Amino acid sequence: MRWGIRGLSLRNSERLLGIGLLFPTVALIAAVVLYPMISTMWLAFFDESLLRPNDPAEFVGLGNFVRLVTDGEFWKVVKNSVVLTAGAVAGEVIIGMIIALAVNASYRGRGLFRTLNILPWVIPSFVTAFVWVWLLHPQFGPINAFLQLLHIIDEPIAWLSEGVTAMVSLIAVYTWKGLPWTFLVLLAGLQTIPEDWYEAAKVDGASAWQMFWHITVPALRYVLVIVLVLRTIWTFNSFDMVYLLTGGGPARATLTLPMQVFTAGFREYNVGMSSAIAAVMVVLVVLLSLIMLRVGWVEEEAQG
Amino acid sequence: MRRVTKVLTANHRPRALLGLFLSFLAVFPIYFMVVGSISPVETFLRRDLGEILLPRAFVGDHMAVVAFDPVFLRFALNSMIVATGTTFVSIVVATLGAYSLARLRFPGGEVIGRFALLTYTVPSVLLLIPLFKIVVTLNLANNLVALIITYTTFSVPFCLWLLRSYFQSLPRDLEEAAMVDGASRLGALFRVILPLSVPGIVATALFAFILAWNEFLFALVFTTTSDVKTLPIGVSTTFTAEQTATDWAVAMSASTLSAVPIFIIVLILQRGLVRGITAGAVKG
Repeated sequence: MRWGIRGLSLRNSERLLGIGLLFPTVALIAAVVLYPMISTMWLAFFDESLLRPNDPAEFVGLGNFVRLVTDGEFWKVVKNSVVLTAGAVAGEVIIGMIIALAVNASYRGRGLFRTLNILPWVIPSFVTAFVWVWLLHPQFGPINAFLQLLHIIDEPIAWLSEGVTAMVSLIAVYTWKGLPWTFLVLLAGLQTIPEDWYEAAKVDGASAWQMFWHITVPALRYVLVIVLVLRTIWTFNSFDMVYLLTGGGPARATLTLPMQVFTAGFREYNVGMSSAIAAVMVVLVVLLSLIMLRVGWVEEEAQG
Repeated sequence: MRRVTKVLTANHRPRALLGLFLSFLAVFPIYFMVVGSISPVETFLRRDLGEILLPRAFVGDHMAVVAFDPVFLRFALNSMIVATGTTFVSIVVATLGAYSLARLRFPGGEVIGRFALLTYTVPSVLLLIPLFKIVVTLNLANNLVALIITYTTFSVPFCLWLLRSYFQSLPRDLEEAAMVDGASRLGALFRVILPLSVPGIVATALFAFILAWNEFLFALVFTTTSDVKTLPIGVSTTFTAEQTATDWAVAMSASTLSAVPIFIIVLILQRGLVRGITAGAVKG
């Protein structure tokens, strides 16, 4: 009999084994992600400083948040984060889509092409930062040399030392680093679209632009939403290249939320404030992803 | 099978050229870095674009300065310890978990698997202070073990999903045959499934390695003295003097050398790397 006592106990022991084998994963995530996450959310309601390790943390309710929203500087930091994220994600998706459409056509040596293009995504971020600080360097950097050669500029530009150009440079570097992933995911999506759809549209006399809007974009809808959500979250959360390229400067012009969380916590030792900013970040990340998923979803329903 | 969008290829040559041009833009900074690290110092001073692209001579001085610098070698060794440690622990933990998700169905398993992936949307800075406190309490501050545990946690969810889909692609009959012959579940996993999964495990391991090799933020907070610093922190604090052209040549050498393991992995994996990186995002 299949469902006899032996069979049942086998099933149970398989379940136990299943839970046991997954336990290390769950334990690690609980200890290293879940607990710290909850702890930070909790600390956001306290006044605690690492400079006074023996003082008990004092509960201040929404005090930290009130200080944040009434602080004009904080909104500038939020704005910087939004500008950097929006700029880099838009750049990646637009350029990534152009390259993906261009090479999807038919491509010899696709293997080598893809392999080389993945490099910006996989090299360490400090290497990326080093290279770009050199490329953008006012005295030694090839970018200034190139622009002067073309007579686009007369004097070398100190890209990372002026507020606006520093932000533009950061957006460019983030775009550069994120582009391979965005491009590869979009390309993989493009390759799932059946060729006959385009042929049918062509028979009906559709232009390339019409085909892009009415075939490619709807077919890629799901992939596009995933790309937008993930790239937005990852760029928004990113710390290292801001820290390495500008350190948030000049004069806080490129100070982003993750940078601010770090500075408040590990430069000013203000645990409560740092946690409160981190909590605001999480809320923004969740809101952003919900909005994007929702938009993708509504469109999907509208398209049927 | 060719899945090309023919209609979009009507004017197909300019498009391919555009693609090549943009991919050149993607690669040229890395090319500059590698070439810069073996260019004479004057190349950095002269600002002659042709010379930056293709120097008149190649020199190994700066490379040698970095490669024989005991401080740099210490950073490299630390990075190697952390990355191999992370890779090893991640693969053990993720293999067990992935097998559980692939074969041993139990209530909640699927939910846990999906939940694990959400860790990729959590901002790292959110975890910094509590993790730092835990590390200090456990006496692991300034200790590579703290980095290995943290990195393992962040690489496991990805490894879990890659390995799960790999295990699912193997026919169940193989294990069932082994179990009919008297092997236990675990016996079947170790003797039948694992030997067949070596290619998948190697690819997954290399992903874990890349993640640990590149990580910056936690290393910045958890390590303070140069005997335990990894390359990202060590090199970016030691080789940053940007005053002279020589500094730049040395900095480019340090960057290039730090990226060498990544270059090697890219060469080994090639298509596998691309497939792994885009995994999940397309299939969903």
